[in-house]
Amino acid sequence: MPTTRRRQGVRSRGAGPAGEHLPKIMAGLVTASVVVVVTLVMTKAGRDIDASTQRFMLYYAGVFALIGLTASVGAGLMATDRIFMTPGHRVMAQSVHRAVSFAALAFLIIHIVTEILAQRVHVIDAVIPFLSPYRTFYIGLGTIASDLILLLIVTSIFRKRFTAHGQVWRWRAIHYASYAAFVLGVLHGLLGGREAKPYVDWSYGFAIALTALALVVRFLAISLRPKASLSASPSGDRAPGSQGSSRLRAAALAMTQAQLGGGTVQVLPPALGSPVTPSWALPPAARDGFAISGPFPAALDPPAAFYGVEASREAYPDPAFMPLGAPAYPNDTGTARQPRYEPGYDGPPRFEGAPRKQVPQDHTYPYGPPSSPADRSTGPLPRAATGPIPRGANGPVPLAGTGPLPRADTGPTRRLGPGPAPRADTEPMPRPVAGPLPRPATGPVPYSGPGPLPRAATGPVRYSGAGPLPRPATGPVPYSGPGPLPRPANGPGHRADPEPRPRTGRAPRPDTPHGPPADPAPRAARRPRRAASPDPADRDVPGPTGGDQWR
Amino acid sequence: MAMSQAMFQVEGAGAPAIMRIGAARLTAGLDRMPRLDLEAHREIFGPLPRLSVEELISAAEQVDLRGQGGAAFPFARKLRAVVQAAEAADCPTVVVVNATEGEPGSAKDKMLMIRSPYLILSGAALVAEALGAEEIVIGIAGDELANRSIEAAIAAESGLRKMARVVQLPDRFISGESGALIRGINGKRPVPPGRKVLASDVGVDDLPTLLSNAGTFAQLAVLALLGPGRFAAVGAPEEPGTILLSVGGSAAHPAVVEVPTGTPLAAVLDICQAPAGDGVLVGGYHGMWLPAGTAYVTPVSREGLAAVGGTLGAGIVLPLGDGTCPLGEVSRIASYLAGESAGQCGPCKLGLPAIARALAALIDGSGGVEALDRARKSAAGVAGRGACSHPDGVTRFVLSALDVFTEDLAAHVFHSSCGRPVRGVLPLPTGPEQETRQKLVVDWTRCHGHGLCAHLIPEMIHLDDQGYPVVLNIPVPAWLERDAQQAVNMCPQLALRLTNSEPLPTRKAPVPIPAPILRTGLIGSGGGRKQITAG
Repeated sequence: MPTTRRRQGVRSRGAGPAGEHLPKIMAGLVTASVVVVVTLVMTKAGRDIDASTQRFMLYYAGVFALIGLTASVGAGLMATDRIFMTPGHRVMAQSVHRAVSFAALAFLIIHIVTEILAQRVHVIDAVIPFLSPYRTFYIGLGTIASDLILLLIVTSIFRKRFTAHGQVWRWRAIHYASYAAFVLGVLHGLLGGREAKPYVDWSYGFAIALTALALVVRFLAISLRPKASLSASPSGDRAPGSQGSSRLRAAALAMTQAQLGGGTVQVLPPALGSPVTPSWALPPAARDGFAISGPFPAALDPPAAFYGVEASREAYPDPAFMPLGAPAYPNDTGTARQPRYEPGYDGPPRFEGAPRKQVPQDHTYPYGPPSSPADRSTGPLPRAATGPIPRGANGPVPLAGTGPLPRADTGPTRRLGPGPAPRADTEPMPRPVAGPLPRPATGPVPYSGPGPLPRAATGPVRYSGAGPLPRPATGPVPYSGPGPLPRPANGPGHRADPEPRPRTGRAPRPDTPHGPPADPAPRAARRPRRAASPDPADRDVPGPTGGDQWR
Repeated sequence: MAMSQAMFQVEGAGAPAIMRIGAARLTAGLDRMPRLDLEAHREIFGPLPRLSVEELISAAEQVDLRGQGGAAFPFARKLRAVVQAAEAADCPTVVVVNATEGEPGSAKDKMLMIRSPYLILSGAALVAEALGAEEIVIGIAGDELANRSIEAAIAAESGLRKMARVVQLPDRFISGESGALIRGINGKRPVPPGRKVLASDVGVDDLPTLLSNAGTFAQLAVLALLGPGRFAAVGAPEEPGTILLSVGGSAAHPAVVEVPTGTPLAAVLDICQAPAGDGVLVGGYHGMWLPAGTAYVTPVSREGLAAVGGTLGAGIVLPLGDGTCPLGEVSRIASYLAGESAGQCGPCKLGLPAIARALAALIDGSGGVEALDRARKSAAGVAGRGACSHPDGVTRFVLSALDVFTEDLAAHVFHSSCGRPVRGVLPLPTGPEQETRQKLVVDWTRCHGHGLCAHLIPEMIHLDDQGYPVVLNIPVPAWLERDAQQAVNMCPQLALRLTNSEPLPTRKAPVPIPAPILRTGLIGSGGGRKQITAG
């Protein structure tokens, strides 16, 4: 089975290192097998080998099949064990189980075929039990066993199908039949054929006993497993209030503070808890001494029991510092309110008294409305301040589409000049006179060069030379639009219809096979246009050309 | 007529939009027409001058022309290395144009291939003629429109038809790595080679090969056409000229923007109407994050970005905008990058999923401080430990995100959520190849936590504290398909399966179930209907 799978894998990938040589390997294998078969059939020595092999197999194939069956059952049992075996060993046992099963199947088929060829049994006996005249019962047992094994193998080959269709129990039930097949096979092997030596009887009896023991262990393990799983304590980071968690939390506090350089982040103690560390949802196993009946045991814990408060006090010796979180909504008794379970609400747990829709604007709520500019300026965690509702319905979240630069007011780069920002689709790029590029004098970015930023547009010699190429500035842009003259003031290339393509049709286009042949009229119209736009800057800085214009 | 319009729109739909600040170099003429065919290209750019290798090298040196693919290797040095290798071995050379734009956020090569293919090709032809190269190979990847455009452009020019060959490579992130590209052109699997060989020494068919990014060849063509003096007339004095930026992310008008170097990033973001929000990613998914305040004052140039801890890379600018969870976006991309590993080098194929897993645990709140710790350690642990620079790039990306998004980080660590959804602002590849890839799905009703899957495919599955599997939320990469199949086959409870359909989102708002209506019979007492409420 593993080898089969590997071959399929390589074939499906087709590009692996082995895949590059796959045709050669296959050709070699086919040639070799053809040579072997021809030698066996055609030559006298080959026929002798064939006959002796058949004799050997008639004698031993059944034994091998039985050994294989025993090993397969043993490996299969080992693969299910969770007590003594690591996952790695179990994977290995499963591989052995599959390989041995296929080997057993191969010997089983050889056993049946050689028995039929030797005319000890009829073909029907291979399929239907209890029809053989000779040792009817024990040979019938073997027939039943081989039928079961075939069924097992076939269902196991299609095992993956059972993952999709919700029929795991069927596969499992069929697979449990292997124990029956094993016992029947052993009975058939010991009693259906020649007289067995005593040690063979003993060893098979031992194997069956071992299998029975392993089965007992398996079922015991299944019945014990839930308890074992529960008694195993989860690791420290998931247990609220444990020591390991506390140290890490303290380290995190210090680290965060250091990262932000100034203690601007206020930190919630874990009482606000994540959904994953639900101190309010799990029965408090570690809270010794407290008789807790309700589902919200944290209500009985004073806030100081939570580590975060202490850690905050250590990390922030400033007495004015008040950590957010548990004391955020103090109720009459001074203890933290508890998050409560709310069906239909998907989010971090909220406190019972926490504002649901809007934030109260009176003195009881000390942190101001969410996402207000003032709040944003004082603390980098505005959402922390709004309490457990992270996205207030009234929070004005700056969206991408509404404003181009939401922080342009405070940011150090105000746009240059009073003119509007060059939008791609609204108006043309400022001409070189207006200067789209920031100058060192006005712009906030000082250029490291000594002179002002050289611009192509202002260079007078830019396109006046007799260079080898007609630049865009000299205007040989083939423009065959319907308009006789370009509109230099109107922005570049604002063509509404795509039909007048500036192509002469000589170059084949892959995507527009309708290329119109060049007609002389647009060319004639183009000549004066070239002369009519002597300003090189006119086309050198054509402006922000939005993609929309070209679609 | 209707037909022609329909086809035209098809072209417009797939092609990246263009904007421009200042001089028109690489995008010259594209404001007049959507694509420059041979005729238009000749009219706008004129005849290509013939330059010797020495002239090319000196011109490239004068303007300090660098590779535009991200590594910014000096082109003159690369060209000289090829010349020397060819002289030493006395053999012909090959010119390779790297047009496999594997970065999902990058569009500049696609734009050039679709709209101005002859600019790339004339640059390549210029070098090929100067070197006396025997072949021009153009490596292309996924984009259908760009590939058709470049093939048609070659077919339309008789000289190129004889010399140029197009090689299609799989659309993967690492297909564009130079070693992988050379391997792919040579007919091998396009993965980075284990031992670093310089393409200039041993490249295509073991010949000295000049391999450079498509944008570099376009720049070279512009340089040859304008001459070094006029080329350097715009841009910052140290690195003159213009560059193409691919602006995406939160931009209302995502576009390829041609700007002179030294232009403030704010101006670029402004014309694309892209709010920076929580930060701007520069240099693509191997790049670094800049806080919004820094991004607005940074000039777009190699040195300018490097001075503030960024990188120009291949000119990708991805502002994040507001309203999306920054670390959630980073986690998404880290998972994608983990899946894009070639699966060759151990630190990469196990380390990148570890980073992705730690970030995912950080985002959904299940990891806390420990996950942050793990993410940092794993990210630092993979740097420089692979055949290519993929792990280094991921390290850069993740660590800079953890440095920049401190507020979001604190919210996730201490509140388990920042309250913002992950909107998917950062682009991921979409294409037919992505549709067919399978995902690992656990049937939780069956899983008993045997843990065999985590043993068989540790790259994608690990066990939580209770011993149940946590599956990395990416499609199964090609190099893990066999392991995934085996994990499915060996699950003792048949609980693991591979499926093509998208799995349900991990956290879904519970749907309120209306209370059942109890009918008390035809002759109802007290109103006929009673409502049962739970609890």
